[in-house]
Amino acid sequence: MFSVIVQNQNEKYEKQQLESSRIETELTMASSIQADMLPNIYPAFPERSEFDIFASMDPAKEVGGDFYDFFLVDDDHLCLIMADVSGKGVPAALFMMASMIILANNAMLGKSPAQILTDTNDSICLNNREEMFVTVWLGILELSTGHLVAANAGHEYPVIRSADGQFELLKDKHGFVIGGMEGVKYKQYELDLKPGSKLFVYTDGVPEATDAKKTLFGTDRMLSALNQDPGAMPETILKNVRNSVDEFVGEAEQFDDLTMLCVQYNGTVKKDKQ
Amino acid sequence: MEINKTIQNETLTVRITGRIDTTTAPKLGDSLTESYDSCSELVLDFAGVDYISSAGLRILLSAQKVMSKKGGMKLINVSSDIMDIFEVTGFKDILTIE
Repeated sequence: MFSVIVQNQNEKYEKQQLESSRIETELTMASSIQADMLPNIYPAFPERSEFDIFASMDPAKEVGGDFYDFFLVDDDHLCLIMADVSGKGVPAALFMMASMIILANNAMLGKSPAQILTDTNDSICLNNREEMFVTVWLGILELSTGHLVAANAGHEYPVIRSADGQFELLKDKHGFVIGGMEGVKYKQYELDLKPGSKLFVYTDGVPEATDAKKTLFGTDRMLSALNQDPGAMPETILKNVRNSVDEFVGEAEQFDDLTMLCVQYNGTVKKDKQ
Repeated sequence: MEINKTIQNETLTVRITGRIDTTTAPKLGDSLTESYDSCSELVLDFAGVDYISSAGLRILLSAQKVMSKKGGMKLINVSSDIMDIFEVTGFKDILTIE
């Protein structure tokens, strides 16, 4: 009788092992599918001299709720998106995929940033019984002039570096998060990037990275990392921030997704090869 | 995170202490859900809250939706750090904060 119990236990254990390895395989695949959704081949637009761009996403778990996106809406307009879904893991990842596609579809119709956010919010609110939401910063850069139009739905402040200057937080107008409430009307704002200017957007995983003593990395440390070498190319800028976060966090576990995007506007004159 | 509830004349006051993040938010959500029927007004005392993540904001949003059909919901004793988070996420415009 005892041996029957042991045998049953063993079978149960083996079943659990099989099940957990199946879930692991699925998560690994889901992780690659998610990573491949984000533009990740650099240089991203080798034929375009007006800008240089670099972005990265490191989820804390296999899959995450952060995303970035960038694409040309037409020959003269580059759309830039940084977003963060509430929560983590698989639920956040599913919501992230839907949000990313709805945003891009709206943007490709040539709408303004405020209109893209307003329409995306209304689509997402139609079917959102789990009450998930996503914070989004979305900007459209006119490549011939450096004119940027942007809108912010509850997302972290963007960081701007004027040509030859330092990176500084831009305390922009904030609307409510997307998916939180139907009928929200978003507002947009405008600024002009001179050749040499940079824009850095990120998710709260950067300022809220936490060390073993539960101290937050914070925007001041983030700005210092950005200003180590403000003239560097976007890829280096991101590396500097990442290294600074890693050094600060030390042995503590990465708790949140860490996502960043940096774009440098070069103007229409052919840039000097570095 | 600690949750402390007191009810007086159908006003439920929930005192929260600690961090409201991915790991603690479900506990707060469950605790509020089980009390909705017993109150008409909800007061969240944030004096002891030192951090709220998006998972916590989601709980506030659900509570706000439920309570807006009843006697309403308000937050009291919100620290400036938490206020910054409400400001950035736009929650400041939809919540009643005193």
